[in-house]
Amino acid sequence: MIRFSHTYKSYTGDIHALKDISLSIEKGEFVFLTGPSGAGKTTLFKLISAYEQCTSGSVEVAGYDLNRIKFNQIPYFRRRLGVVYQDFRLLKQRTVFENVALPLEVRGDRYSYIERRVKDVLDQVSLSFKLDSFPEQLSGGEQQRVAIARALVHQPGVLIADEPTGNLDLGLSRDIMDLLERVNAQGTTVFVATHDMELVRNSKRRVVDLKNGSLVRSL
Amino acid sequence: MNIFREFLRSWSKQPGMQLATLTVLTGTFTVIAVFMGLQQNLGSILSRWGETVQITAYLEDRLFLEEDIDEHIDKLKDDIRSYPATNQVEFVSKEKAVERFQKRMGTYVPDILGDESLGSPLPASLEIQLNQSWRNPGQFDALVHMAGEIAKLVGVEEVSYGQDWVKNYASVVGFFNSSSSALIVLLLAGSLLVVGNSIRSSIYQRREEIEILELVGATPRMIRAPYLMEGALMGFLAAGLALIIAAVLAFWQIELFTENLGFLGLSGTLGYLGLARSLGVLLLGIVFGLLGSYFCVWKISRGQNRPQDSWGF
Ligand SMILES: Nc1ncnc2c1ncn2[C@@H]1O[C@H](COP(=O)(O)OP(=O)(O)OP(=O)(O)O)[C@@H](O)[C@H]1O
Ligand SMILES: [Mg+2]
Repeated sequence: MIRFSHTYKSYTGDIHALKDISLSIEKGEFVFLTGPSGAGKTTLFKLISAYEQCTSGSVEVAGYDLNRIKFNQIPYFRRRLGVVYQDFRLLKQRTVFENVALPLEVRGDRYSYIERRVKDVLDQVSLSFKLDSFPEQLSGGEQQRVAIARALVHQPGVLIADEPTGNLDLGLSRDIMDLLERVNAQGTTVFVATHDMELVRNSKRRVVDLKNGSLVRSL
Repeated sequence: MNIFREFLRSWSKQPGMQLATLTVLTGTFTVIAVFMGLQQNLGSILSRWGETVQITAYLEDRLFLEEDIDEHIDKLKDDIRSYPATNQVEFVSKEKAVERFQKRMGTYVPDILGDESLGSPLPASLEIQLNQSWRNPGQFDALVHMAGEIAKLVGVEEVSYGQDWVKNYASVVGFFNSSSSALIVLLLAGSLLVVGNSIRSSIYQRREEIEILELVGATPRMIRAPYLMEGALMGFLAAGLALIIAAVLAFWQIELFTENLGFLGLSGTLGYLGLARSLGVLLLGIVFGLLGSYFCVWKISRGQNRPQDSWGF
């Protein structure tokens, strides 16, 4: 489902964020991405979501070769992806409901379906009571859960989540991890970046470890 | 997506910018509408005056001392009727000429009426109505020739054909039309910039939002649509307001004109922009609003760059 082959990514200023990454994640897998701050986790996710292009090597996601993808295919590619950004990326001018509805609106779903589905997903992240709030009126953890709801609402084939529990307390973190497990059980490939080693250890899932832009462990 | 809601949102976020744009744009389209109105009115005055072009042959005073005056006049009439351009020839006696003059100018210069010492300053004449096809500015050269022939007839003192001034007027109108058209083109080009500027600032303010929309899989078309709508609506509003302002100006001016210059007999000729032209102004507003925003918007989400490049992140 996700395949890196000798992938390099450098930023201007001679910053080599990723070096010779070769990695394969199969459909339906649940994988953790760990590594210290600045290791390149977010960069790896940016390559997966076609937000950045790799400098050399190749990245393949959901059957798309992201070096060759045509520009007009990118929107359709992204609709098959759910992404929880480290910085959430919610639309400030839209309510929680509208934010979560975006991936469905974009693909042209009916309003009645959107309403049902969005409420359902917000319920799963325990936020149905904040439907009409704006992101700025929410706590960090609540915003994070809105971001998670938006990433799940369209039932993507691949879910990548950058520190999805970074702002959550223990109880909520567990709820979210349970939710991701459930999503994974329904067939979605899940790739989660985290600092929380406790969480990684408890779940006994595959772990990909980055250090200084290189893969140091891929179980 | 609810484009209209987005649009209102963006407007309520930066009302100052939008208001300034709308004001400048309305001013621009008001000038355009006014010039189009002037073109229309000058044009209808021209064709109205072109229609009244006639040849007047003033008769020598000594003719009226002759005994066979009636026959002489009939002979002249016959001669004139033989020209293909002639539709009708009418004899206007001195008395009738004065009477007409009084009727036309009476309310404006009543003193002339009672002034006996002026006697009858107006000569008798033959008025020659022309056939329809000859009554247009393009036929003037032929009319000049005909007038010259008539002037040679015995008993004709002078021929006037109102030609020079109509022709001058025609060339003034032509000059006005072409220079004001150039001005309109210039203003329209300016309106592109004005709309473009406002849309660019709209896009800039919402660049983060645009990026997020791209990330959730919105197509470029979806992302551009609200900005195109915004441009079109702004053009439409500006053109609509401009039409209203121009209408007020026009009604006021026409009233002044007919009140003070009624003797020119133009009251029925002058009018406000016709329906076709008004719709044309609205259409121009919409089209140039669209175009102005299109020139900014086409770059959004356009292929060569990934979003972070296009926004300089
Ligand atoms: N746009 C960029 N331009 C230049 N350098 C960048 C850019 N983005 C990231 N980097 C650099 O690339 C390296 C990897 O960054 P990245 O964000 O992938 O780390 P991370 O593993 O996600 O860290 P964290 O756990 O703190 O989120 C860092 O050294 C960072 O400074
Ligand atoms: Mg990161």
